Amino acid sequence: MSGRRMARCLVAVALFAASACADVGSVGVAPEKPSSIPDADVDRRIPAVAGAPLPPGAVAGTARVVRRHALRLIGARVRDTEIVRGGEVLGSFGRPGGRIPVSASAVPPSSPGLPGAMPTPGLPAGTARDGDDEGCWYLVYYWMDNGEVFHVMLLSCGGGSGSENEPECTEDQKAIAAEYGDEAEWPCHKFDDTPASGGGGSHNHETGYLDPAYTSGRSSVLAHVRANGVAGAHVNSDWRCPEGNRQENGRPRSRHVRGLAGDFDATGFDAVVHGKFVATAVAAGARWYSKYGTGLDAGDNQMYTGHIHIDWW
Amino acid sequence: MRGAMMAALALALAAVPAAAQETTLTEREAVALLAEGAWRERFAALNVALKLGPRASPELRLAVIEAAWAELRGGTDTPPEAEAMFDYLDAVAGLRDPRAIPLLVEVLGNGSAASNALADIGTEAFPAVIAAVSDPGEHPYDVFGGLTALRFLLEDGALTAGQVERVRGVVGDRLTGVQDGFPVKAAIRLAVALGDRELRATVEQIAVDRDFAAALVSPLLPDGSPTDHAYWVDQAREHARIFLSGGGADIGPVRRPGSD
Repeated sequence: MSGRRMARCLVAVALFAASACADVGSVGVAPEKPSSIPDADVDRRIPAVAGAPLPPGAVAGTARVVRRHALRLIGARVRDTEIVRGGEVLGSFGRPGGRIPVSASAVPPSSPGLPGAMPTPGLPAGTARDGDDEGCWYLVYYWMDNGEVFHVMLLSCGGGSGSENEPECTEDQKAIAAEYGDEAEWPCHKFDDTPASGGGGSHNHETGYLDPAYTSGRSSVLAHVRANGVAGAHVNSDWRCPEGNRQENGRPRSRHVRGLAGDFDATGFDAVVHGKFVATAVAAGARWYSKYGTGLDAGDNQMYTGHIHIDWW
Repeated sequence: MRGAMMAALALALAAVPAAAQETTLTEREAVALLAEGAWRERFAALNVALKLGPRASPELRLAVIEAAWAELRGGTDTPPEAEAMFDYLDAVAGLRDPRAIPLLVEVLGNGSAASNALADIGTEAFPAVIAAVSDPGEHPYDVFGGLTALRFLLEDGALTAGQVERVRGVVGDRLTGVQDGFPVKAAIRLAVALGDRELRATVEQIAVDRDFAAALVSPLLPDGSPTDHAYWVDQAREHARIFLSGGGADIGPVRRPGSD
């Protein structure tokens, strides 16, 4: 891959400030980078880009973050804390000792001034898609000042479409887009995130769409409850494709389908744990959440005793 | 006649991809489906209301409100795993219809969308909201949502001097005695927003005096079981410090006016 093309693959800046998470950022977690990300490759502060949309809660001019790992990860998926391809674990993150294997020569040169290359999480505008390169993928991290990795996505920088504006989509992405049936709002390249739900609601798709409002809120919620004595906090299910959601009896355009909702769980989930989830969710801008113990399932059991549904604006 | 119309609609919906269904229904058809359709058909009808928001006809708005009440009370044919309540509430929240006030008050404890929707309706929602937050038996989440709605109304400049005075009263009550942590947090923020010297002094005491805060915040959940008392005391004190300092503007719940 040429240096120019590499540079054009430079993408994604997430802007965060501790003040943006004042209610949840002061949770006693020492600010640190995720231990698995090599120091040499990260922590390059990048100034905010005028006019670039910010994730919810972000403050312009206080940028932190972004890491690009140029990896050959075609066909790989982010599963929990691991990067897997087939049965092979290519790398891991977010836990002691975890490390993404990165070839130093594959790391693209920094070009902070590259026009249009520093927008919001999700698929950034201006992402280079030109050419005939061999199809590399970037693994892009976003993390907050408390060290919480809140978003990881695989981003293609190749595909041979020859156009910067027409990114090549995988067959799976095209299949997802077909389910939405709305190319204007839901183009295939939008589905490059890794949802929590591996099957069922995601209909076994390899990727999906997570709205930045959700990923930011999710990070705040999980970081806060974990720092306040809640063990095993995790997301059971978030994005669902239309067909998967239909199979789950959901509305075709539910907030899960729009990547705005998650069902959160934790070890020993009870009313006390639920309260901590709610406290953070409202602070992090949640729109709706389930009350503890409300609703009955088909067997007349209370639905919301084992998890909490939270969705964002 | 109505049965034939319903059957025709059901057949038509079955033949149309989900993504396109919302454009195939008229408001009148949506009203009929919300009243008598099966759950998937009601979803399709809901899309019409979601799209129109406050521009929906009075008949459609009422049909959405009534359908949402039915979902809230349970006993409809909607599978529970559909989590349909949130879809219905989304639709209701966008209507700006005063007839939705009782329902929105009922779900104040389900998220800031209810508080925002009540603030969108305006001062007409005030009596129901102030009644909810004044009720000592109200669930703490609901009181939190109600105090938040009052803050939104205050910040919108929608309240009369008399109404502001009543808000001062309920905030004072929620910062007195023993209260659940949720209402305390909302009351702290509203107290600071009111700019009342006496209430601000109480908030300052919460911030600097842990014993005072610990005595105010209940160590029990509404059902009498213990909660993480230290956590809620810390939450209240941190909230007090942040808002006394003039910060916290981006901490939720934040006002998000609905669109016309």
